Amino acid sequence: MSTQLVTEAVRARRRSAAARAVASIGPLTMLAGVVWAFLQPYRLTLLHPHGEGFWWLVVEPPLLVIGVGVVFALFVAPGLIEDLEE
Amino acid sequence: MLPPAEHVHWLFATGFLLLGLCLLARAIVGDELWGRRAWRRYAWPALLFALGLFMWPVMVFFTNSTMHMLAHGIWAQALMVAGAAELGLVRGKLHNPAWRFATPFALAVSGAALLVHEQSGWLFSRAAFLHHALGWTALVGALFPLMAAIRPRSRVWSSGFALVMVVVAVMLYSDRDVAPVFGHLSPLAGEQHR
Repeated sequence: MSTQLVTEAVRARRRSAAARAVASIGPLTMLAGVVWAFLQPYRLTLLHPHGEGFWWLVVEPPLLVIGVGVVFALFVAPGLIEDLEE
Repeated sequence: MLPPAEHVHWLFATGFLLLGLCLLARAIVGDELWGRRAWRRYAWPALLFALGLFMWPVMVFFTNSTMHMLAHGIWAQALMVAGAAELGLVRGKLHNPAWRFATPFALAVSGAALLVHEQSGWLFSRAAFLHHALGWTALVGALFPLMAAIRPRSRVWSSGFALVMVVVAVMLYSDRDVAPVFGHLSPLAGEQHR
């Protein structure tokens, strides 16, 4: 096998490892938010909304973490993976 | 209508988490590929600048003490300077690579501001503990963007910078207004809620 082919294969492997890493960031973040919600369900005021004020209903940390994961997975990761595969 | 202080911390945590994830992705794929699409080049500096902008209402409305007000104001300015310097570099308006030191400078200033405006000891309450921990994390963590500015191609320093932002986000999410830390809560802190 020529040196050029080996170098290309190494580069392709690196690119696919980077693509996998980028693709996993969003789902891992979402998973962290879900695990947190199970560990501290009282942080989710949507589960018991009666008597809660505006800010307690709007700012729910586990949902915010899941939201960040969703934003990353939908808007950042796809373009990066596409560019990596080019 | 003002949000409780802990909610403000959680909202900032969300911004820092998104910033950290973007920086982590940039560290993984490399600066060149990250910058292939124009919006991505501007994304994290703009987010940093926006976090600085949002610090101004915090300065105006959360005036527990003069020290708080000054610390939040300095913090807002430092974040905006760092964001603006990075935006200027990306846009090509700034050419001197020394502008890359604005980010570690901002992080160090943020750390100092956190440490200065926390007047209580480490174990006074969870908020006090986290402000000390955040301050030292930001101060020591400034080493990562500093080294990344000196060695821009090193993935170790850029990944480290990203992880510092994620750790800052985790600490901000852990903040509560009045809660114990490791079983300690000063009676002067007030009555624990939730």
